[in-house]
Amino acid sequence: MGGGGGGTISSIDLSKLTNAAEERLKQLAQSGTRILFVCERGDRKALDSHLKRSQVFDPSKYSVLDASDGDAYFESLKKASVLIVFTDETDVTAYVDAVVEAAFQGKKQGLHAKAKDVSRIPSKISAYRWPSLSWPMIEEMFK
Amino acid sequence: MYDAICLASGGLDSVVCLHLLRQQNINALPVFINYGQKNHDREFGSLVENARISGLHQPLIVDVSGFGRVVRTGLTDPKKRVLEDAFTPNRNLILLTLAASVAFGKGASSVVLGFLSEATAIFPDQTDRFLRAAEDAISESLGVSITIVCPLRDMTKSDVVRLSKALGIEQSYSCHDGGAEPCGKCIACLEYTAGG
Repeated sequence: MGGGGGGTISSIDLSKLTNAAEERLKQLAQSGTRILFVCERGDRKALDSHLKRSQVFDPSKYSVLDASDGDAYFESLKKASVLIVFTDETDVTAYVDAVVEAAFQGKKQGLHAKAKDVSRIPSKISAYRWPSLSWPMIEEMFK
Repeated sequence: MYDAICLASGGLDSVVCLHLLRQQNINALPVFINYGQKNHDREFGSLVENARISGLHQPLIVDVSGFGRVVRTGLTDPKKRVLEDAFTPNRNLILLTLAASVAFGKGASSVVLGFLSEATAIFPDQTDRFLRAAEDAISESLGVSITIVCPLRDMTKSDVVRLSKALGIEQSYSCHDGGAEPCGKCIACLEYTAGG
């Protein structure tokens, strides 16, 4: 779909062309969907528990950081295509807000996953109008 | 979790793309866009059948068929000439924009499509310049980086025909006229004939 063109100029070495096509896709595979989950320190156990139970998220395609990991998020964000900020019972959101700011500046897609209806929405999530969704809704999105 | 969205019409180029994606273990969701094209039923039927035979994901349909009812061209209106009136304004931009919207909604950051060599491009929305501009516009519009990937960009139709045989692809449907038999007159049929 989206094609047209492609006419009559012929090429001889198909294997060379196929290798070029595969190389483009390998680059895609390397930069394929990778999720960075972040949370405040006190919510880490709850996030790990949600991920352990999940049938949607493949452990080989995500990484998890919390506030105890300091500024490691700068490097992790470079490899991530999506940031998911998780909150459960935390009252503080300084760490996750800092990660959201870095992700926003880096043009990364971001979402907020609420463990409960009353879970706090980080201020940067509100500021940048990122979606704030329940965990089942997040899973539905990535199915 | 999908790694990419693949614009898929059921034509040879997009079916080859889907097979290459699977070979590379890239989990790609085929997206079929009904923009009111005359050959919608046969294109979509071909895509579904290919997906069934090959064990690919079944396509997601985006229906914007009203576009073709308003923008009447050789691809959307049986009264227009299928070859001479084929240019459909903004078609590829619309396809890419919709695919990128689906990608965004699935958390994927790449859109794959079956553009062939720029050397054989006919319309302005088939050039590298267009692709770069579309990627920039989509990324700016979404506020996130979306990459457009064209794995077949070095190939001509004859290369794709040969590759499809090597991949064991036995059927596809590309004729713009939408008849049971290829019309032999539209751009897709002429390309296929020339590509042999």
